[in-house]
Amino acid sequence: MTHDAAQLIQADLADLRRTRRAHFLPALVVALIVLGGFLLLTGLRPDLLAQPAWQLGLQLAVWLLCLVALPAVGLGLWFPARPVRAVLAVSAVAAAIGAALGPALMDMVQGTGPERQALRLDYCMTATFLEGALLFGLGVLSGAFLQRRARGSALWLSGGIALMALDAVVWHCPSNDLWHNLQSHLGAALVLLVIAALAGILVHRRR
Amino acid sequence: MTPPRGLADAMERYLDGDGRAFAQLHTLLTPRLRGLLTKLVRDAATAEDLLQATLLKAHLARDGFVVRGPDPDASVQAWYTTIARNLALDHLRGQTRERRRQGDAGPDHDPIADLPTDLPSLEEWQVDRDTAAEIADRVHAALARLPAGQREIVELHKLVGLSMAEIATRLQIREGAVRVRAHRAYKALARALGASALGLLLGLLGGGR
Repeated sequence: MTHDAAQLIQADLADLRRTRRAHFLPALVVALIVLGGFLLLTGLRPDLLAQPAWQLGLQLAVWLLCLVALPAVGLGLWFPARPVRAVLAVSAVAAAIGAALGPALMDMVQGTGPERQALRLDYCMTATFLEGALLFGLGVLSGAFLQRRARGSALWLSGGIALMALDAVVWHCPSNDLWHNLQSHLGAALVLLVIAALAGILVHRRR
Repeated sequence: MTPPRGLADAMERYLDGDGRAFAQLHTLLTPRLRGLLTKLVRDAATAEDLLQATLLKAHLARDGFVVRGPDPDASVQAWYTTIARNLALDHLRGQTRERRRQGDAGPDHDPIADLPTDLPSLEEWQVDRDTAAEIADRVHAALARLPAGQREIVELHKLVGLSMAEIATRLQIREGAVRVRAHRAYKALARALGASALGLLLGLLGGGR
């Protein structure tokens, strides 16, 4: 045998990554259209650019994480080492908390409306779930949950979906009310993450 | 043979498509596989060819890999080792067949005459095939549970068809030691499979001398 098996295998793996990239890029474009459409229909928060720079920076970091980094790991386009994966996961959680709660957390600004009294399905929560459902459907239809063998890939993709829905709502809703942001932004994203992860794992099991 | 640490982690990432993980796996496993194959076929060039074939076959079959047993690293090593050993045994079996053919067949030999005349019907063949597949699964599982030294002797004796003396020469150990290991292996197999299944297996293989 004159072939070098290792070279042939590396070429096959490179081909696999090319195929995955070819699946990922159209799905990313559709996700951007969904998110852009939501923001276009509901409107951007009026103080978007007037937010503190650190908060805007955190929100941009969340966009970068959810649109590029988390899907890349979930789809098997990027294989960071275990410590890097841990840093990535912790950064995503920290950035999500910072971006969602923002000044409300820093200044402990609290609303006085009835939303403080009881947990209820309000506009922001509904929007988060609807966006999440659309993005999850996109993930399923594009085969994103089936690309990798490891079941953990569903968690990375679900994390990406939850962060996308969260950041879109944060860019729409100007609320600085800690309770509202905690319940309807961050809380809804957390619920979305859990549901998407469980559903993603179920889809993955059918692989 | 203690498996190198980190095999399972590299394998998991390789199965997900990570090229660097494959390179790591390759570095960790290749020397061991080369050693095993050289020991089995006793020819460096053939061992190298079989090594390449092992890597390719494992790559094509990688979706079927599952961790078995408590040690994931050992599971990866065992998976590659089994593929390598099977390829080596196929090669040795082919060599043996070739030698026999050259030794037995004269110039006027008609290969058609060697075909059995009492072939089973399609229905019988299907039943036989299912039974054989079931037996083969049980035998493979029982063989896999044997210690490596015993398993090697059973394979060389019953699958390749070497005599005890030939095995002793190949493995560079005394013939008595080969017989002791073979005896222990068959006893263990008999316990695992039940005496009737072992008898059937040995009857089916029928290659021992």
